[in-house]
Amino acid sequence: MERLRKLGDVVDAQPISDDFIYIQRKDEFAGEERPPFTTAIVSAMRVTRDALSKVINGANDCDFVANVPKGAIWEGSAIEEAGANNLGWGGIGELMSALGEANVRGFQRKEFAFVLRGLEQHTNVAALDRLYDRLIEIHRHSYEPLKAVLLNEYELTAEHIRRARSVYGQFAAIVRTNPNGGATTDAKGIAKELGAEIFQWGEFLGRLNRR
Amino acid sequence: MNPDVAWLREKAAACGALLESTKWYVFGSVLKVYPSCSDIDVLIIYKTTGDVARIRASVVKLELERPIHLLFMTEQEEREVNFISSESCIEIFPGSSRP
Repeated sequence: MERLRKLGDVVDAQPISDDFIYIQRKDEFAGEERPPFTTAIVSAMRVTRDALSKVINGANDCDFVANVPKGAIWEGSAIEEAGANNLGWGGIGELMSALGEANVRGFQRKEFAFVLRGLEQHTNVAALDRLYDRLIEIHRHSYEPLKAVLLNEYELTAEHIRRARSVYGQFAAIVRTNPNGGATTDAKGIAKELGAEIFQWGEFLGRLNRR
Repeated sequence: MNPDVAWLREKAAACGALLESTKWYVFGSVLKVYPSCSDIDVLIIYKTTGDVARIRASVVKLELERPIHLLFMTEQEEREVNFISSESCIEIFPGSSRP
């Protein structure tokens, strides 16, 4: 709460019950008011559909669901539930990013929105199955489905890849969504050991056209 | 000294003492802005994957007090990308250079 109140976009943030915060805000630079919104606060290392359903059926209406723990993951079914109810979703970082948006409903991390839009427009993509926040199974018109994990680190290290495997399970492709930086030699080695390939975003779009 | 860095130095000494082969550094906004709304960025140079697991377990408790972002690199990775120099990292364990 204190972190929120210190932000330039926030005029005031008040708890309206144990798990909901009403946020009044303005454009930090233009000084114009932005529509206030209510965020639900959850605290789970793994955000499930059940957790989202409890929020949605809770004491207050909300526009956004913010999950506090760092390193937490969102299950695909929870993301689907958020989407079905047009809720913004993410961690505290995403809540802070959403403060700058005119409408926080439907907000998700810009990195995810960019990737999903790109995949949906790809001519060989038939359907997407969001298994977790960072793990997507891509069903293709030609060739078998492909599981890809999205990693945004500037310097992609061996430990990032081991961690992704531990958290998300099997994947064949590691997509670097950060256009800058790169993968270390150790990272490439671990990826190979795990039977996965590392791609930049543009390279991955090309990979989708190959078996 | 920046209170966030002082706090982390003290905690790193407690966690790091269990893992003397690791080196801890801070970098990023915590060295420039106080108080900062951002995470405290910490680089940890490690030797084994066992070190990583033990440090993660220790840092979970610290994150209840302050938000921390961990970046793990082997010595070889650090040398390859020259991270400590390029990010002007400050060693907090086991060294004693002060911001």
